Amino acid sequence: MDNVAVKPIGVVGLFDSPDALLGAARRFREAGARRWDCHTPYPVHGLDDAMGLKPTRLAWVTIPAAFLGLLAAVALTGGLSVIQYPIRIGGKPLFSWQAFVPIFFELFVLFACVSTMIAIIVFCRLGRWHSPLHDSDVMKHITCDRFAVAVQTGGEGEMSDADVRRILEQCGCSEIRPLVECEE
Amino acid sequence: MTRGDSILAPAPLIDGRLSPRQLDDDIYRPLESFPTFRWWIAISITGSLAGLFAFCLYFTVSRGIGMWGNNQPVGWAFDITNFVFWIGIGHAGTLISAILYVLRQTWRTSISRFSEAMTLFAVFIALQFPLFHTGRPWQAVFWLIPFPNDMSVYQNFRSPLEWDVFAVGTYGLVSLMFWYTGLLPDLATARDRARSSLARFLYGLASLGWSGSARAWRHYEKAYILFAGLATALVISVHSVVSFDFAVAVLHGWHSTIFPPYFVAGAIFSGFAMVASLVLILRKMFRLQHIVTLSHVELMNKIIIATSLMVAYAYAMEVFMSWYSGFGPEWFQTVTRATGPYAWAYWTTIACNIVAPQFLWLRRVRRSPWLTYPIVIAVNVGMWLERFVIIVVGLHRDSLPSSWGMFFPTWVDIGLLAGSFGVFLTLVLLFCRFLPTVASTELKAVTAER
Amino acid sequence: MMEHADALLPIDVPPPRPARRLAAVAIALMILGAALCALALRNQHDRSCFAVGWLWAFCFVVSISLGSLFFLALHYLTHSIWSVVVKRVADMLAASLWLTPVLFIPVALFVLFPNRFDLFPWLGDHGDHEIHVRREYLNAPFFLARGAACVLLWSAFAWHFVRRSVRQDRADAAKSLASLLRMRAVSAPFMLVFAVTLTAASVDWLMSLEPNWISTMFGVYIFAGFTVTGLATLALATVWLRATGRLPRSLVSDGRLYSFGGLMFAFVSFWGYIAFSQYMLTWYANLPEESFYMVERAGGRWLGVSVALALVRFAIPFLVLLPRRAKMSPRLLVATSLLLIGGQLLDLYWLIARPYHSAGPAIGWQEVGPLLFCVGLLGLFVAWFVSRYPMVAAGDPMMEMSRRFRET
Repeated sequence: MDNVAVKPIGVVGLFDSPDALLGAARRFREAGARRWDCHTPYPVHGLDDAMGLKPTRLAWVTIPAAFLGLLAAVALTGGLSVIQYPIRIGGKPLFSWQAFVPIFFELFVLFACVSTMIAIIVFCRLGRWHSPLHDSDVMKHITCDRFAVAVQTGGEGEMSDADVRRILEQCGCSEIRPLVECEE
Repeated sequence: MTRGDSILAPAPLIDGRLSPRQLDDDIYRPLESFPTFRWWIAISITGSLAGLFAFCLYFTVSRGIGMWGNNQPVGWAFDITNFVFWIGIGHAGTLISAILYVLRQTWRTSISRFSEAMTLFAVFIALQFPLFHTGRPWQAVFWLIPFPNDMSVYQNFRSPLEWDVFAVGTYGLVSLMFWYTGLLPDLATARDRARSSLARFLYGLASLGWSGSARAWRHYEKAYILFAGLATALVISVHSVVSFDFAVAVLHGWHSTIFPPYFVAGAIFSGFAMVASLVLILRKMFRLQHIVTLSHVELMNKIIIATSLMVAYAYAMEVFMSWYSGFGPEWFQTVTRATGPYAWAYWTTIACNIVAPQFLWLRRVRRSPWLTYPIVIAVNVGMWLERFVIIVVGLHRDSLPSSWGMFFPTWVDIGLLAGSFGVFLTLVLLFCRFLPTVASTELKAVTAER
Repeated sequence: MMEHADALLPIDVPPPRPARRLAAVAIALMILGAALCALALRNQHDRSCFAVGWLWAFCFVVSISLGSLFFLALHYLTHSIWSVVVKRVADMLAASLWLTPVLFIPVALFVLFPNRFDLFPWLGDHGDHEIHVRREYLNAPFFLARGAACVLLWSAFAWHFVRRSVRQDRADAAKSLASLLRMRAVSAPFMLVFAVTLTAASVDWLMSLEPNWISTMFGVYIFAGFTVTGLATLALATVWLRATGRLPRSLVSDGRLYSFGGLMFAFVSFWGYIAFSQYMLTWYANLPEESFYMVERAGGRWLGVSVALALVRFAIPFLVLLPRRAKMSPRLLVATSLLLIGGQLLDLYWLIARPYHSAGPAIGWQEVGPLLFCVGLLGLFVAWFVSRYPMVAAGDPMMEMSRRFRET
């Protein structure tokens, strides 16, 4: 690990309580931070508002997918039982909707859930195993009991290290570290 | 605090005050310490039983389904009984993780992850029975799933067995996704706590790089609510569909309109009994008595008694309606259950499912693991026998006395039943060894809110 | 659930005041209804229609009050927190069960004088040998005993819960607490009594109208409908009391209505599930001795009623209440509640009237009379209750906790 180059890309501040984090998040939002995020061991109420995040659009994926599943089920049962392979069983009509309702319902739920699972992975940007937070050695605090704000600095029109550190100090941050990225 | 406040306050989530770090230390200890001697003993016993299961399946496939005891007129016996039993066990997990979540019962957090895992294992085992009853399980996928084929022959979608394929398949998949979603942040914790690089790599891989980002949490929470809502409806539908296997038939004792809610209540009943019978051991084994507290045991017991009464209502309705209707064959079926050759099974069912749980009215019994234990074991036995009674008693006396017959299980039947417990417990033991048994992230969140 | 440590201001409880407009409307409805009932008693045909209408109206009022009593007992049984602020509304509607022993008297008369009213086909000598139901169960004395037991037990439990609740308003903290614990203890056995009595009542008053038909699910079906109706009426009454200033807006916020919306959504789904399962299983097995019930109602002009039932009781409210925001909107909640209450009337009509109108659904003034009278009586009771008792259960020891409760 000797030949690993460490490149500073910003500042990360660690807080001991969610309330202090909320205050800091509000300040950074007002200060116009650009590439920044809060990291918490569990969801913190009111953090979305403090950070100015828009409500999630996840339901816009789930609900259409659910109704697509319903349509697919109607097409599957109807198409196969009436057109592709019509056979009269038990004196029931070919399109016996009463008997297809269980399949309608199951595919409704199946499509909704599979799409939600995919949406989580895409929306939460999962599947990126590498994070600067690991390099900065703060992830183990975040997944246990501490609350972090990570702000990237130095880009076009972004805050400077000094600004970030000043806000963090004013908000009662318990530990300030450089945010770094390792390069092979 | 006045007297009123202490009585009225909601049940504590955990005993005492633990910092998040202490919580993690307690919850992740079994993952990080080398398995104990007791664990090795336990898994060698359950592993042998799992081996028996595999052997019996091998025997079934190589010699044919004739190795099982079911034959005319009892064409369905242990296989479907085991299927319904295990699917029923699989209902508690989703009930706890979805329905109690929707109902804002935060106490569920201590036991939710474990019951969800139990659900997955139970559904996996349940699937084996119908799959192997096809005789050629490796071809069953073409028979069960509408798969395009040269002959243009497709499934009968009016068949409740085909509904089962969709219902149980969906249920298994959705439970897996729901469980995995809940597990993601905990896997990240396990990753960051891991001391060996292999463990860090594997937990890291499974955690998909979860970093607790506020942007991710916002989607994650919504997804969890959506999952919970959908799973709530799903879990009710699954056992209803299983009950349709019987209720759509024109067989007395099988055709009864109350079956869907009755089966759902029974599934929750048996599932909670199974959760209780395992959790009571695990909390001791892994020293989690302060996280899975006596209050949890008491609340589980309350659900057990509530569902026991629902099941009792269904039993009573079946008897009452068969008498009230004045319809001979129905009443004959009821009398046969209570006095026929399988009367022992019927009365054991009543004793285990209806009588035994009544002791839970007493607070002292509800809060005592030692007194609870025999009751939940009795419920497990009773719920297996209940399905046996419905299925076998319904079949063994056909409309013509000349086609009456008895069912006797073979050693393969018994081996599969015993072996299924082996597979189940082996999976549970492995789960406790490699994954956190308590939803640590959610527990931190709910304790912080309190 | 977020709890805030800061102190709450004391609630200022609006004192009870008379609801004159409601009382006036209720009395007008009662007079009109009573007049129509009196007219209907004159000849055999009108009398029979009146009997059908009375049973319909009676079951409707019972569904509202009993649904509310169930809600109240569930509130105590589950140690529910959010619902403390609306507890008195449930008290009020549950207390209207005290009317049921009076309203049951005409039903008893129908049974005692079968030749004059001709309501229950298992009574009297119709020469109908088709009926194979047990006479040991369905006979006039036993029927009356069961009916009387049901209405009296319900009234007694309503008395237990409501009287203790209103006494809490003036009691000291220790007494209030003791009283709450007592009600919680009684709520569990009540559920047992509730299950048995509701099933007995639904078999007697509804299922026995077609005595050859059985469905083991029937009690659950009726339970689902009653609960939805109770919830819908509670939501309606809550919004009304809030609009007239009897329930402070600070106590029952729009957010608090969310729980109503959520519960209503859950029970609408439950009703849909139960109704579909009962129908589908009957349809699928297609046994003549039970499928006739569905065939009768799915054929000819009755098909329209069945389809309307599915839409009004399930499809429309389900879709309306699905979005999160809809569950918090008072206007949508009122609209849905009205729809669901209408759905209960339709459902009871679907269950009761079919044997008497085999040609097609029809409704005459003879059936409307009892409905107007019974609904008027219920309205008058509500007017009396709000003029007498405060609508805030300020003495409930859980009130603080409930006020701090936040819907997430």
